[in-house]
Formats: sequence, C-alpha cells, structure tokens
Amino acid sequence: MSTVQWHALPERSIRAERLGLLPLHALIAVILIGTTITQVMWLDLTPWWMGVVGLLWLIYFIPRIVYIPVLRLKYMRYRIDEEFLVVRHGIFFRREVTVPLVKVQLIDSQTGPILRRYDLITLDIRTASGFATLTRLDRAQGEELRIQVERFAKLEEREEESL
Amino acid sequence: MTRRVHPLFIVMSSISIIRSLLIPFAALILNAIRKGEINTYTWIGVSVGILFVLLYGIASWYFYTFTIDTETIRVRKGIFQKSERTTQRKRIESIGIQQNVIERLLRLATLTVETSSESGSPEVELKGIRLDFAKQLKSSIKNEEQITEEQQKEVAYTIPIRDLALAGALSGRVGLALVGIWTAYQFVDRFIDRYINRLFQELSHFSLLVLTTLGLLVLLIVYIGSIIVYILKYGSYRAVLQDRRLLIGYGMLNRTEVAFHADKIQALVIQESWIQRLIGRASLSLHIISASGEKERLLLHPFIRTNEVDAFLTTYLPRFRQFSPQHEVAPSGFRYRVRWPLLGYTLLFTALSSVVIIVLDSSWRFLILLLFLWLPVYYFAVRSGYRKTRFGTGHDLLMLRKQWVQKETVYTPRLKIEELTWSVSRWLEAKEIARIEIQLRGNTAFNALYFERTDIDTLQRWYKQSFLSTPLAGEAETDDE
Repeated sequence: MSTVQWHALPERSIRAERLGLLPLHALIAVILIGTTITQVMWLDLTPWWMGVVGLLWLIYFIPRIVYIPVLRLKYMRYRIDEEFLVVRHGIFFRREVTVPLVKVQLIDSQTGPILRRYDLITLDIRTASGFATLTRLDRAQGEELRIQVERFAKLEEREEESL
Repeated sequence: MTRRVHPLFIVMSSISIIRSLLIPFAALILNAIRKGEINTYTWIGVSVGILFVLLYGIASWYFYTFTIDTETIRVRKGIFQKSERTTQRKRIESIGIQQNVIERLLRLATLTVETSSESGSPEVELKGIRLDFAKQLKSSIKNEEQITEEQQKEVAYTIPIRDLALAGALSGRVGLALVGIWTAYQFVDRFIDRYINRLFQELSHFSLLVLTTLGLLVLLIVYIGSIIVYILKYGSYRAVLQDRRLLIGYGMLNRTEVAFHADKIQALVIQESWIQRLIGRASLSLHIISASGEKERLLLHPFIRTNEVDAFLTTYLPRFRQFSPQHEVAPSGFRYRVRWPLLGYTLLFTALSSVVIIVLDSSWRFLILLLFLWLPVYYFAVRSGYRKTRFGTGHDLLMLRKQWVQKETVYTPRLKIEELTWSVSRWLEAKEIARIEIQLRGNTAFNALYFERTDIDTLQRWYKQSFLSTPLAGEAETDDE
C-alpha cells in the first residue's frame, strides 16, 4: 500500500459547520414559535401538534448540530495517491471512492462568509460520471490539492477515444 | 455548406402530422357516417385541414437548414420560434441513421449525432434527408484518418430469421402483446360493441370444450403475434465491423442504424435468462457513450450460442474476452444481505394479515397467511443469487457477475471506470466486508455485495495502475495494454 499521508479536515471545520447550520434552523425555530403563538393567541387552539413537530425538529436538530460535525471530522479523509484521489467519508455508511485524477473534468471551489472567517474552502471535484465534494478543507491544503489535480488536467490520458 | 433537407420532407412531415391526428379524425368521421351527418361542409373542413398541414410542412421545410463545416455542425429550424444548435465535431460520440416506415417508403432517413452531454435527446437530428446522402454525410463526419481506411477489410454478421423467431418465442413478450390487444380492444369497443355482443350470444351456445379451445387459439395467435413483432423489431439485423468502427442496424419496418468506434464501448453485458441457460444461449448488449437516451444500451446480439461468444468477441470486440471470475462473495455477508428485507416483509405481512383477519368475517380470511410462504422462497432465491455473485479482473478488464433469475455478466475496461467505490454501513465495518460499485460515463453504475475486504484491496490495487499515456517519472508502470 502507498505511504502517502491521509489528510483530515481541520478542527475548526466543526465550528464552521455548526455556524453554517444556525441561520436555517433559527428560521425554522422562529416559524415554529410564530405559528404556535398565532394558534394560541388568535385562533384559540391548544396546538399539541406543534409540540410533536417541535419534538421531531429537536430530534433532528440536536444530533445534526452536536454529533454529525464531530463524526464528519472523525471519518472524512482524503489523499492523493500517485495519480488517484482517494476520499473516505460517510457518517452512517463508510465509503471509499477512488478517482483517477486524469478523469477529473473540472474543479469548483466555493467559500462563503463563514468559511472565509475560518479560512476554509469547499472543493467540488467533478468527473464525467459524478463528483466528490470535499467540504470545509483548510484553505491552504485545498489550494494545494487543486494545484495537484490541475497538474493532471494537462497530462494525456491513455484512453484516447476516437470516433 | 448550408443546405436544406430533401423536399420530400414536406410530404413526410405532413404524413406524420396527419397520422398523429388520424385517430381523433377517424373517430369523428365514423361518428358522422353512423349518424348520416356527412355533407359538403365536412369535406371542406377536411380539405382545409389537409391544406393547412401541407402549408405548415412547406414552411417548416423552408426554415429547416443545416451547415456542416470542418469544425461544427449547425442545424437551424423553426417557423415562429427559431432554434439553432451548434455541435463541435470533435465532441461527437456516435452517429446513427434511423428510418421509420414513412421514411423507408420515401427512401429518406433521419441522421442523429450524439455527444456526451447530459441532455436526454440526440444533439443533432436531421430529419428527411436522402438515405444515400445520410450515409455520405455519416462518412464525411468521420475524421479524415478514418476515411482513408475506408477501403480496409469489412466483416459483417447477420442473424438468421430462425434464431430471431426462437429468441422472440422465448423472450416472454406475450404479456406486452396482450396489453396491446386489450388497449386496441378498448379503443374499437364502441364501434364493434353490438357485434361483440352478438358473438358472445352465439358463443354461449357452444360447449366448454369448444370455448377452451377458442381461448387457447386466441392465446396462440397473440403468442405468434409477439414473435412476429420481435422479428419485425430486430429483423434484417446486421453488424458490420470496418477497421475498429462498428455499424449495427436492425428493424424491418422502423430501421435503426448506429455507428460507433469500438473505443466508445463502456461495457459489454452478457445476459442469460433461465430459459436461455437451458438451451445454451445468451444475449449480448453494449453500453456505449451517448446521451442518457435509449441508445445508451444497445443490443449487440439477441440470441447467440454461449459457446460462440468467444469467437464473436474475438472478431467484433477484440478488447473484450470472457474469463472466469477469481473472487467470490464473503459467505458471512449473506445474513446481512437478507436480514432487513426479511424483517421488512415479515412486518408487512403481519400487519396485512392482522388487518384482514380482524376486519373480514369469512372463514377464507386465513388464506392471507399464505403470504408468509413468500419468506422462504425469498430467502432461498436471495441465497442462490448471493452465492453466485462474483467479480474478477484480467487483461485490463473488470468482470462483475450477478445471478438472480437472470444471469448477468458485465465486462468493462479498466480505463473506462471513472470511479471505484467500496462502502459498508458503520455497523458492519468490523466484519471486514463491503459492497463494491463502479461508475462509468453517462451515469451508468454497476454494484455487487458483499466481498471480503482483502479481495477489495486486490481490486483497488488492480484499478490503481496508471491511466496516463506517458507514466509519471519514477513510477512503476505495470499495465499491460
């Protein structure tokens, strides 16, 4: 087996993921509270169903914000192994994807205000069959990965197809 | 050169518009005849309709032009809403010639050009051009190098009609034919209703034996009909290999012809249904690059003798050859494969039978418990399928075999595999087993479960040989192509 190091996500990606989740869930919380108040104050109802909805949301929200970012940090690994990108990821399912770098067609990088604050970057690495998304990498590491992948874009693939 | 398609396109498009309106019009006219309301105005209406269709045909022909230069193919069309589509010649993946019944009568054809884009339909579709011109265009779209090799040897293959009839007889398309007849009956029912009633009255005088014979006779006719449909669909089958370019054509009424370079083949699939296995036959199909339309999977041979597959492949697809798989599934994985579906079925059947037994009053209600017989059937079928799942690697080819009722073996060149993935749920991670999946271009994926992790490591090592035409410096190059 190859001796190349596996790269992991930086610790601060946990905070970035949590912070990224907050706006949407804050909005959901506001909507839930708002509709409950409307039903109690103006419609004179006793909305027990809102309790059920709130509970379901909590059951989803707490693990999503507390555990999943930690598990992602624990499980997500990637490495450039000679001419292949190998990515290990998955929370409930462990997946290991091997993609030859010459097959990569384009790389998209995205950063938002939260990612910039933590100096992180998200890379979409696309092939003709699909793509691997590497979320919240360390920016310097991400750039290095992109340069390595781009180096292969200039190389000629053996499987040259003719009409 | 910018040019228009053949003027017969007007006739063709008019006929197809009229054809699509034929059923409602026929129904209206039949109704009018029945009520005796047919008069001069009816005929004027019909004539104006036909005139309008013809004018529309002329206008669409006039505005339908195409340009082919050294780099691009451009098609412009549309009367009110104009459209122009430009395709880069170097992006072309396959070129096909199709003929439907009208086109065959008029000696015209439709040329389709497909690229690897993700749209569902062909990139370029040139309707209503002369068949000879279509063939000429097809060869002119090929690159120059190919044209100089045009004179090279040509190998052709046809399938005898006897084989096609046999393939049709065993293809199990009777159900489809029955559905077709039922739909047709639903449609003509209102016109022939009284005759049918009279027929039933006459029939009720016959004995049970005669009725059974009649029923069987109808079934036989349907069955023969299904065979005829199969022969019409795949008849005049011809595969031609010229240099490394394959041309596959079939269809007696609607003719389909697809040309592609052997390099474009993503995978070869050998299928053997249980009945085909009994008589030593198989069907071959190819996954070639195209848009995600129907031509993604192309029939190569509907009914080949299993012992002739090797010779066929050597001649037509030298890159592919059969070999025995080296890796079997992990025996310990079976219970994980089967436990959730079994639990699901058990819960479903329990819920269903509880409801039936509680709600219904009849003593027949306990028959619902027969549902549970499905569980052992399912268990043994899955077990047999699981044990026969294999994969193997050899001479730059990956082979994946699954067998349920149908045995399906997929061969794909290593260099065509875009992604190799193994996956396993976190709960089974410690069991050292996993599922494998390969991704090809055009969203084609094949998977199988569960294999030992050591076997998967072997597969990964095999996959991770160089994909480059000139290997990186200081790297061991072991590939054998």
